[in-house]
Amino acid sequence: MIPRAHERRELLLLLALALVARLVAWPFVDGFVMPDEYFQSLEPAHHLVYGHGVLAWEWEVGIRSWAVPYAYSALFRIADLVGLAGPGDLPRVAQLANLLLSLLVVSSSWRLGRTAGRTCALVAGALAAVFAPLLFFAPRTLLDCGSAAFLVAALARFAEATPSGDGTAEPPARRALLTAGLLLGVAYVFRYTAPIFFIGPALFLLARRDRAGLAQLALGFTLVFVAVGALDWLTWGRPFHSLVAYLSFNVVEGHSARFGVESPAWYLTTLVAQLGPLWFLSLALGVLGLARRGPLGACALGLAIGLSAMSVIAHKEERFLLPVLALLPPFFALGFARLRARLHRVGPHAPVAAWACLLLAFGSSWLAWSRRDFSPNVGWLDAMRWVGAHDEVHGVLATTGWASLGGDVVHRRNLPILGNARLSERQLAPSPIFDTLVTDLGTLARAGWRPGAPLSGLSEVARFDDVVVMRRPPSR
Amino acid sequence: MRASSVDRTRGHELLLIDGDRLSPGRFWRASARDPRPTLELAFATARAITGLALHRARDAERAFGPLDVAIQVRTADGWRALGRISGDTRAVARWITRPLEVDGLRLSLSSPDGKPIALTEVEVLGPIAGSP
Repeated sequence: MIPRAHERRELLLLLALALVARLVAWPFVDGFVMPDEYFQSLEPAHHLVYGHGVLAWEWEVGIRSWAVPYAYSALFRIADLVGLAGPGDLPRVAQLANLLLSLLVVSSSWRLGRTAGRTCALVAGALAAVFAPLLFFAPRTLLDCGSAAFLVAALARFAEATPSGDGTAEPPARRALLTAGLLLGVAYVFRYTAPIFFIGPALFLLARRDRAGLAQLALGFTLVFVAVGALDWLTWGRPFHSLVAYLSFNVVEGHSARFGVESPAWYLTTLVAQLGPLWFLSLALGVLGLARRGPLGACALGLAIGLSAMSVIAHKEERFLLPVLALLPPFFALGFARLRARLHRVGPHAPVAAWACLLLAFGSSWLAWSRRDFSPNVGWLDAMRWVGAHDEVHGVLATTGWASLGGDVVHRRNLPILGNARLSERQLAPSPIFDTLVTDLGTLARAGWRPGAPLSGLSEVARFDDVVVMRRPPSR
Repeated sequence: MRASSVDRTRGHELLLIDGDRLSPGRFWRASARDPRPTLELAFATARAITGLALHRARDAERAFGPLDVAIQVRTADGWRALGRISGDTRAVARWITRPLEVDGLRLSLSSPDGKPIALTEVEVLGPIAGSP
């Protein structure tokens, strides 16, 4: 469905609102939720452009495609050309690109809502524009953020292209299904699990015997799938290497459980916590929105299948919920639209209650997210930015693991960094290379350090939150 | 000191010349994807060498696997192959030569049984001061 002129204006206004909200929130978003924010995307890209960087184990084993690092590396080259490549600059440039990409969730949310009417579209778009979890994740360079944005866009295309009644898609709509397949393919490039969320729509087309529509969807996805397989051939030495290695590592050998195991109900309880004290109201709206027939029902089924599949897998992380979080605004809006229509039958003023429910549910979620630290672990990254800005540093001893330090993309230097160092006399003995210590107040306190006092000849030179940088004074 | 690759999660090539052969974590390990790990050492000025001592880092199995090293030196005439270490399994792999004036060294390392390539220190041996 091509938006009409007034619809385009409304969409542009929503996108402007979303952009302003994201730009206002962006300065507060720093640090990292997961080290993967750096080591699955930015750091390998830095390695591609500058020839040095910390390549985590997954880049040795080969369970990721190089497609995303190549995309970021192109961005880094442009940033370097315009002089934005100092300590801390490149992650900010990447964050800005991700922030802009997150607007795709807003337009897709609007498109999903539009299948149920203009008001629903406006509410879905407005919710996605200012929904706290989406503001929190918008600039983050987690692969899940990119995947969720393209996945929601694919679902929106599918819902638009598929008629609600019986029958198969018309030829123009089939082309939209091809686009949906392509978008799903891009979501898959970021996260190989993304297609799980599309099982619902595929089953829907199968049940309708819409073979042509299904073929277009499959063709779009296959084009990207084959391209990624070919890129693996060039970069890893065999076609589809990263997919095979990914499945072998996570599914066949079950190694993902090494990174932590949670109960099957973990995603639901996490989601409830994120919806705030009035979670039941949000869930009620969501269920009302999800309980639909037609293509939106197929999207809801895809969401349910995706969430169930993730719940069965022992290893769970909050960021894997991103596709669900990104789909909450349109389904809240759909639930609201249904409630509003029902209340309209009760009396002319009754729909006000639907608005009240929506605002309360939305406010509840905001309340939950307002308590969240938008810059977790930022002290370690600030310390490494400081290191990057001081050429006199030759090597860093850090009492945290290398994964908490963000990699070369943060400090922009090819430095020896010894992680998990202990504050022992032997580790801190004068060294021609390790002249700087990055540690935290807790570790220092356990080592008997008193603020202001030197430690094995090292003195405090900078502090960021509870992270302390110490250096040995230059010898005379 | 330059390395063709480094597993930065496990060390750095500069740690091969920091004088520390014993502290945990202070070593260089080549990337597992590097088909031919190579180290290149450039001296500020030409100097006489009589050999090399390559101090090994234990691999994941806590043992020293056999190590092969092809040694090239750079003299006024350019690079030339000068010797090799084959299948050495000791904690310190040594190579001795007659005194030679060089301004660079290139070491191509490989493990015959496919184990990770890791060193803690590269020690360049020179003539004893005062010797003829």
